[in-house]
Amino acid sequence: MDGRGLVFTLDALVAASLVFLVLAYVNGMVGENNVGDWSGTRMLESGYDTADVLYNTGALQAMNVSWMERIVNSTTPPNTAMSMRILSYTNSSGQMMQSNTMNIGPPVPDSQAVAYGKRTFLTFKDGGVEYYNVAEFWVWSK
Amino acid sequence: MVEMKDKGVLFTAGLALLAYAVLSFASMAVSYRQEMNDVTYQEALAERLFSDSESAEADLKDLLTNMSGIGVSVSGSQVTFKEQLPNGNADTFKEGLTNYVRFKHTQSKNLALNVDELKNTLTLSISPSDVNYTHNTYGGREIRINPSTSVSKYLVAAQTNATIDRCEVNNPSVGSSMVLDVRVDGNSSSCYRILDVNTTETVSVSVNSGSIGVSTLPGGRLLVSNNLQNPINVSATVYLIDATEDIISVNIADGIVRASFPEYGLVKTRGVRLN
Repeated sequence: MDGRGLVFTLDALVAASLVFLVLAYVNGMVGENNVGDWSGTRMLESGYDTADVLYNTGALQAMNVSWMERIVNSTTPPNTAMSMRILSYTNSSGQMMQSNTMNIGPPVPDSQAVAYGKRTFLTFKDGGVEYYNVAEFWVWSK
Repeated sequence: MVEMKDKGVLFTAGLALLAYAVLSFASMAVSYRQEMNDVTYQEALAERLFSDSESAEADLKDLLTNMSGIGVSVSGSQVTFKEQLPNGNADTFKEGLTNYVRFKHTQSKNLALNVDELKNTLTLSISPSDVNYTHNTYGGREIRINPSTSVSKYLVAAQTNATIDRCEVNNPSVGSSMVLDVRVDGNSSSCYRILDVNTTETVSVSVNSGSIGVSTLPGGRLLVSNNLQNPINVSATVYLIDATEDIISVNIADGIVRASFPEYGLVKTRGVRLN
């Protein structure tokens, strides 16, 4: 009778160990694939929308930092933060040379997932292009 | 003894089945998650394609508006194009386009801009009437309007600093399919003609023996030319049949902007709307 109990217990322990091993493996597999989600795309869309508003209101072309900050603060969803950098280039004998940089918003965190996008726009002076600009943006969850 | 063995086997088999079920469920969850990741990634790429092409469209519109020397306005069923002939902005605009394409290429490898037609003939099309405003050569001495549907009237107004001493109408054919209204103002003189023209024939208003010419050609096409040494300011208004301001758009040809991620089968092409 004692021998039977021992076999039964050992059998149960082995089976339970197998189940736990399977569960641990499953947990690992699911965890590994849990990197991309919808919120990243939504943050990206939010960033593009804000960049569009900045362009369509003329704030980008005016390069007015306080105007741009007001728009960024009013269009960014409350649970997200956005930062922007504008790089301005001029044409010099067929080469694009970077001439100015402008930063808007808080520093980009390096310890969490951040959505990144950009759009270009032009500014004009005296009937020609003054700057070829790139507005880069980063959006992340607060 | 036998009963206990059966119980043990059943217990083990039950646990094994449970483990198999959990494993299958997890496999499905992983597969679903992977699928979702792919969809999310493709959605992000599509968003980027859309944004890249949209900002290129806006940039090209800004370039054309600020540098081409061509003004476009829509009012009611009328579309007006204003331009100097020859266009003194042509070379600057072409150079601006070349630089912009170079700049855009450094920013996005997935974007192709086909600006050849824009540089060569700078053709603008009116939708939905499918009427084209174009040049034999952009920066040259001719403006053309090619309608594929009916246009009821052309109003061509031009200003020159030359003295107008001759104002003639060649082949004043009788017809009523279209009105040609020509008003050329010169230095203290002018040439005004309003003609009912037949669109199967060529009818011309010639100023100073062809120095300035305004013609309707078979098919209802319009040709404006300037052979004077100095440029003239031209305003050409097209009166469209069955079109209203809210549906009229003036565009650069579709396909000038092409953004793609061929490895994912994603392609976005677009033209540039000016109004």
